[in-house]
Amino acid sequence: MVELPEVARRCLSRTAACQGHPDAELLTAFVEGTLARTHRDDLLNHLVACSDCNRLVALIAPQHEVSSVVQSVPARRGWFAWTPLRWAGAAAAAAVIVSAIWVGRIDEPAAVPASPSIAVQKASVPSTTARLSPVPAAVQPGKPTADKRSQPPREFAKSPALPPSIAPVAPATPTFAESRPAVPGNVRDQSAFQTSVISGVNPQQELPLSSAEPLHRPPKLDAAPVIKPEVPAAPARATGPVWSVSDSGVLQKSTDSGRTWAAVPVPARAPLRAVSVLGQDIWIGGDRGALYHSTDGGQGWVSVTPISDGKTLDADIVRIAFSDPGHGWVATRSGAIWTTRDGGATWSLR
Amino acid sequence: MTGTPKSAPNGELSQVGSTETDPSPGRLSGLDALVSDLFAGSGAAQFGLSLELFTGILERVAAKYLQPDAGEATTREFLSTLHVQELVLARACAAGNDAAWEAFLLRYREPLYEAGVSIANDYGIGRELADSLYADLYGAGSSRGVSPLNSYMGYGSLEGWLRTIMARSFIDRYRSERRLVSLEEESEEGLQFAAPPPQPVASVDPRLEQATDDALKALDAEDRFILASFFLHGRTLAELGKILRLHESTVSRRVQKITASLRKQILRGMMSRGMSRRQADEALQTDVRDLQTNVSARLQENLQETPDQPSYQQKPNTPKAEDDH
Repeated sequence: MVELPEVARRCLSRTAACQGHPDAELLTAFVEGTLARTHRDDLLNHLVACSDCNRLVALIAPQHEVSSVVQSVPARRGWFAWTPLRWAGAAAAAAVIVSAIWVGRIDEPAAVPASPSIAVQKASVPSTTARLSPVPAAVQPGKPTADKRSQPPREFAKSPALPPSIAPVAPATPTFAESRPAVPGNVRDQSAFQTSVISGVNPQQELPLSSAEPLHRPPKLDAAPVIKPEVPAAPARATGPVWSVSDSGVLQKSTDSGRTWAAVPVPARAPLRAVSVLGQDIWIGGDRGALYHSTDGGQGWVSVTPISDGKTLDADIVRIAFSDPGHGWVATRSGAIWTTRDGGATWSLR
Repeated sequence: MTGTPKSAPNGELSQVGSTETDPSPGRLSGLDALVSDLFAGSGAAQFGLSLELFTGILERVAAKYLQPDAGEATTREFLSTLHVQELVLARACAAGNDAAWEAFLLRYREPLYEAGVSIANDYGIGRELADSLYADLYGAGSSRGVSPLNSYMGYGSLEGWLRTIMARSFIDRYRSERRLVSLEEESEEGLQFAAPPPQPVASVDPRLEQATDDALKALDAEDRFILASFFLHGRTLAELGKILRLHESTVSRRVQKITASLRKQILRGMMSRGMSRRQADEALQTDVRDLQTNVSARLQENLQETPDQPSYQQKPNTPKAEDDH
């Protein structure tokens, strides 16, 4: 590792004095990569000078998968140090990569898992659904109480270390464990967290649920799908703008064939990892099951939560492919593949 | 946080998010459609939050994070990125809504425990941290019964925000425990000894410092952050990678690139100030050799805490320039 000149250390250390600290909101948005540019520069300048916040940021930064392909830097020595040869090598490598991507794209439709038996079964038994708008909450507001703070509604957990004066105690109410399973059993009832309509979509729109119908478990695939999560999503081909997802999980659009890119605001809470574009029909996916659909070229986004056989897609999405607006599949890091044949209204898990 | 949320008798929100700052009225004018969409998607209705109150919350958030002269496009973009569902949930919890607390516990109980254990690197302490945070969130830790959830603005995710609050709490606790550490322990760690008085610094050519200052100012904010974090604050490449969402080796290459570029810029700056290349090289080398002790003092000075905020720096910063010789 190269060393920083001592004078640079000295000058760095006095670049700015700590004048107050940024609030938790800004620090959180920073580590999540959603901080606005103006706020980000100010915060970075603060983090240069403030050891406290610098450490705090390191502590709260979430562990995440890095999607960029890492290659060692070749040392500059020997015959390869000849500049024209290096350029030729780079050009050859680029050609190989482009060819590989091209071949991969040609092969993609064949990789969409679909067996005739499953197709027949799914047509006859629509076992899965996806909800595209909030539904009435299963959790009803509680009864009026004189002072709700005096009696916490649920016990978070009993901690012997907490002094009695501040520890939440709920003697008259059931504990969390008693009242509700630790793992959400009925995720469909938690509509507030499942879906969101951000803009340009009728909030009342709701696709029919088929929870009353018998659930069907599709057969398991013998071989897990081959997924390469390290490979960043390549820019999707489109006749108009070109779309891609950056290494930091930001959706980008280029209207000049990739020369310049602009970030596209997306209501995703997690870093994005995959994008699929078919004209105005765009699907994007990211960590923790973040899946969004736009039918108007990215103006408005609808959060989609695929559900199949009571299972919800909550794993990291690493690949999305749609052959037409109706048919497509979503692959997760865990190797699961979710397919839809009706534009995301219903899904099946394989 | 100066607001005092009131809990309505029916558990609905009457004055959620009382003002920290008075929002300028009409900041969201012209954005009614967007606000309505956000309201519909936030699930606010299930907690009894009206569109009017919801708009008020958004106005406060915008007033806090946007410039007063921010245009409609900027405001629209900012509002679109807010975590409105979580914002509404937090405000409903702060107002004492039972349904909101149920939803909160259902969603954040386990992640908070996991975050606590991850931050404290200890199962027991981590769970204790999470429990303490819950007590604080519920308002039990405040004499006025005000929940910190009322200060959540939806800029970052609620889970990330809770993690940040918990990390701060952990650091504060660490600090307070460091204050109470026995002299014997302090002696073992060598912390009770006052730093030796700074050695007189060899006079440095002012052109060197000017050139360095200029070169640092010319750096991108993120590059400056990388340099300071790595060389001053003792962050590891892995930590920086985690913060910047980059691979460790990418960070390593960036550190090397920035440092090499900085050296060049400093040399160029000195030469533009009338020094020959050899003189500039010598000035840079001389500085590295002679100012070793002073750097430590400077670093200590920079990292020094205010009296009520003693340092919680665990990793000593190790000046590395001596490796050059």
